[in-house]
Amino acid sequence: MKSKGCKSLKLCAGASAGGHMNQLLKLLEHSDLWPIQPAFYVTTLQAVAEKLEERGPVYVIGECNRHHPWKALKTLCRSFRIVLKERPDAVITTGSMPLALFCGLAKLCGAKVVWIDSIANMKKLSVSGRLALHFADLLLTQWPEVAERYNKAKYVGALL
Amino acid sequence: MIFVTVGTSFPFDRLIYAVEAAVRRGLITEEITAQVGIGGYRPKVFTAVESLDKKEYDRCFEKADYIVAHAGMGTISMACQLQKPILVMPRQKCYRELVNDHQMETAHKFEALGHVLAAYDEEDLFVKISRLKSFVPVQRKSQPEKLAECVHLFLLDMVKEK
Repeated sequence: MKSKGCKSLKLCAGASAGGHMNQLLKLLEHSDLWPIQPAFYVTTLQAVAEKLEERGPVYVIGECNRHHPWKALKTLCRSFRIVLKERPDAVITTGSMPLALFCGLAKLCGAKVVWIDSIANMKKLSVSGRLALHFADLLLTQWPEVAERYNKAKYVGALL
Repeated sequence: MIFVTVGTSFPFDRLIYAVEAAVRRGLITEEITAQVGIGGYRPKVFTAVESLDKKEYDRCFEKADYIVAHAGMGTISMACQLQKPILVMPRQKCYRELVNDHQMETAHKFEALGHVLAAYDEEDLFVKISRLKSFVPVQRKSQPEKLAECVHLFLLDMVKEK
């Protein structure tokens, strides 16, 4: 791990299982220039966690969406425990809703949040992306048309 | 060889019926390899399996001359990367093929950019399948390194502040 004298900064990278994770892995292929590498990872399914484990410790927070408030509560509880234990300084994510909850909590505990909205959202930000608008410190979308709709959203290119 | 793939999370037999009908009409003469998912229908005129493991899937994709698929982002981006001519049919919410219509959006968008051919129903597939052989997809220029650079600058600022 390249820490270059900034060991005190702790980075977390996270994404939901599926397409979101593919996009995160694409981003991480180009992460070698970063001043810090992720110290731990967050995803939503155990099956995906196994793929990430070679990179570092992985936490599973479970799937949830706006139609399942009970599951969302469980995801929130798991996320809260992880945030308190790990105290990340920054979280980078490609979505979706479970990661928005995680990032929101991390932000409350002082972390900075980088939200990259999924490439699947071509007209407007995803529901979770619109939630992240409230707390993200850097918000990237993968379509110029989407960036035009929100002051905070920036377009520099697409991951896929 | 034509590789037909529909993903595995929701049924999508509508595409399998359409491809089979196209074969019966003589619109497809090439050999077909198909991954038909959990819809339950097994085509009579070409061989199909429910799902392929990642390795098999990649091998079929690489071997194929053309791809016919649902409008999933994973499938489309793989076709773009491998420069494979691809015809997509979006899953639709009204047929319970997906929870929403985001594949319609994906199909329209990537069709407009010239990366894919898109068919929106069976009749449309009959028309587009014949165009697939001469279709040269516009090369997609994704820039993951640009996003990584953006994150890099953000992290660098954080490190400096510390």
